[in-house]
Amino acid sequence: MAEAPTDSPALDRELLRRECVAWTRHLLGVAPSPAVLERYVDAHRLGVVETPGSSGNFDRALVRLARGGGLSARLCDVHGRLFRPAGLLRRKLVLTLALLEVDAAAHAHVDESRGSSALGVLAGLAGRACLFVLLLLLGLFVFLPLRLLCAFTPSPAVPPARKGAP
Amino acid sequence: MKSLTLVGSGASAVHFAETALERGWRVTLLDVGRARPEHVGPELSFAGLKRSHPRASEYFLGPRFEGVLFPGAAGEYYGFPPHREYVFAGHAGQPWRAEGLEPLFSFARGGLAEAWTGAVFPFRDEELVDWPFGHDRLAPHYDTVARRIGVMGVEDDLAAFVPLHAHLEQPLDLDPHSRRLAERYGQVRGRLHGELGVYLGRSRAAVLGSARPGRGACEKKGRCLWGCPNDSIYSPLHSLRELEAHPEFQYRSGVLVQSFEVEDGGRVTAVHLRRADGTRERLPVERLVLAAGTLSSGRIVLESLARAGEPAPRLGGLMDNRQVLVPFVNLSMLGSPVEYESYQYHQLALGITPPPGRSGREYVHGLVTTLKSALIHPIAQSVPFDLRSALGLVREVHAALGLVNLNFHDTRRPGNALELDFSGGGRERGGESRLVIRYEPEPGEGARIADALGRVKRALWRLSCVVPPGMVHVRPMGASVHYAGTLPMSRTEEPRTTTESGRLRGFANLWLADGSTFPFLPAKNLTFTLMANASRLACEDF
Repeated sequence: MAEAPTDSPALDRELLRRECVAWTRHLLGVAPSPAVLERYVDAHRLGVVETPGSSGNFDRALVRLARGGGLSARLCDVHGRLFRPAGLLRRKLVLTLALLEVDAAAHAHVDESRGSSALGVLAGLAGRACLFVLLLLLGLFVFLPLRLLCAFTPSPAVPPARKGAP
Repeated sequence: MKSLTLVGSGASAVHFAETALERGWRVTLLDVGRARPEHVGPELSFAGLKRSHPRASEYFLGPRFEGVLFPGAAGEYYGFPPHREYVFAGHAGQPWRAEGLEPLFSFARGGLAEAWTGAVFPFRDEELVDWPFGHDRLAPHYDTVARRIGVMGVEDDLAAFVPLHAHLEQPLDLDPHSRRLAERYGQVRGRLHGELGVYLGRSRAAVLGSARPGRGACEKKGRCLWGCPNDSIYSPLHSLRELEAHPEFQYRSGVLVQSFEVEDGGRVTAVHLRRADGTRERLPVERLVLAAGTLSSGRIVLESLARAGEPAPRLGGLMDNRQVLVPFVNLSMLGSPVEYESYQYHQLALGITPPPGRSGREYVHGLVTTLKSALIHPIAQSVPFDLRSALGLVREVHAALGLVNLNFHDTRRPGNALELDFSGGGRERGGESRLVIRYEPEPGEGARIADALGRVKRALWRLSCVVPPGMVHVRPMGASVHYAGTLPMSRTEEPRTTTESGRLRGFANLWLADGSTFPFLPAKNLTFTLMANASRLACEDF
């Protein structure tokens, strides 16, 4: 029988909403709709975001830093792509992108194609690659000491995914 | 009146039933038959759903986010929306264990073809050398099935590898990316043929360009993968609806056929059913036709042999097409806008000839799908950039992305088999068995894949496309869902084979009408041949 989920004591809905706003601004430069915010919280309530392998101390630290948005979020996104590709931050970002691309208010920002020239696309690709490398190097100065610090701190337990419909 | 009992409601079963009814038989069809949910917002396109449907998020991603592809997710991503999971949902009465193959089962009304891409590619003589007959015996049934289901196609360079048949309808206009590929192919085709042995042509597809009773014409809503709301893409479900209107047809859903009962002399007298509520039933039969798919039909045969006292029944020769996914970027399409209102599946196909000196049956077949409407988050996360940069890049290259799905042939080998494992309960205690599936690829498969892949990459380059490094994906066995070969048709009297008319040797009134009977599995999608062969079988002993 389906079980109606209830908020776990550890679930901070306001923090999750702020997080979702930060990720949406980082990805699309706009604010999320109330429907996206609600679904983002739902996903956490159902326990589908955090998994034991994705939620170590360093993963949580990356999420905390990325919540600041702007350059901080960009650095964390770059570092996470290479060093924690299936980590908590990436899972939260991918969830946000999935919610945005099917959202009435945001999907056009995800789906739009600007219709640039092939040369423009290739130049953009080269620019992105250069920026990625630059941010990666910059991030290493911040994240390597952080990783060391996190390695010596005990990890919190991850609650199992909840069964039942939302 | 003569009557037969048929098991399954997939592509083979419904066409066997239709032909048998035409020939004056009374048909009872037994099926688990999980029903397809109603289409969500059937009037809306892919983009329209996102734009205006209040429950678009639940539709695409699922109420429990089953449709979100999180990073690090195990297994293959099929991209089916959660509301289509019923097609592949398992059954408590059919536990299984597999080694070397990741099987997919279907207990849906309409079977696995509820999720096919409509690919229609008849087999030719070179691919039927292990079969007890040639293309001429199947040809009239290809015609019949094409008339029933509606097939689009034209005569072009692929006709050398894909025989033509009657009732071919005019195909849909090509989407801009496919059109660009076809135009470029026209400029380089001589070199592709001569130097690489690669041919390109229009894909043949069971899709309607004009409406028929109960099915609408393709309106290019871009929802093929999510379940065509117009029912333009053929599904056995459409045939089943028509069959249900026939006075001599009875459809009984909610039952799982577990085994049959045999009396001395090899006559099947009854089938044993498990109802949805878990209760059992014995149903007498006059003639029994198994068309539940290779794995499920094989299981019924194994269970029945075990019930009859055979200590360790086994069916060898299991086959499946290896598939290799080759993503590409068409440089000439970079920066182009995406046309979301498109037919979503393959509109082009590739024929790759065998290497010199090799048999014609080693032909490799490829489906070319250009990316139109699609969920972006699975693609963006696979790009080796941070997600923000990846999203920007995907937006710009979206219209230039495409995928070749290469199919490779398979042969029957004794080690690839279906067996039963009673260790969980023990048959003497009435316990349930577990289907055991064993599969090992053919030695030399790697070299065959490497040869075809090398030629396809070079051909794509000539078509102005590049294959991004490290992106080629060899799918696990089982992913193609083209299972076949465990009870093959044979001219010679051997145990565990069927006659040319599909009757299982050793049994007086038991026929197989699905992929179990294929003695060789060509590289092509097999569904159209499943339907044609089932129709043929219903003409031979019935």
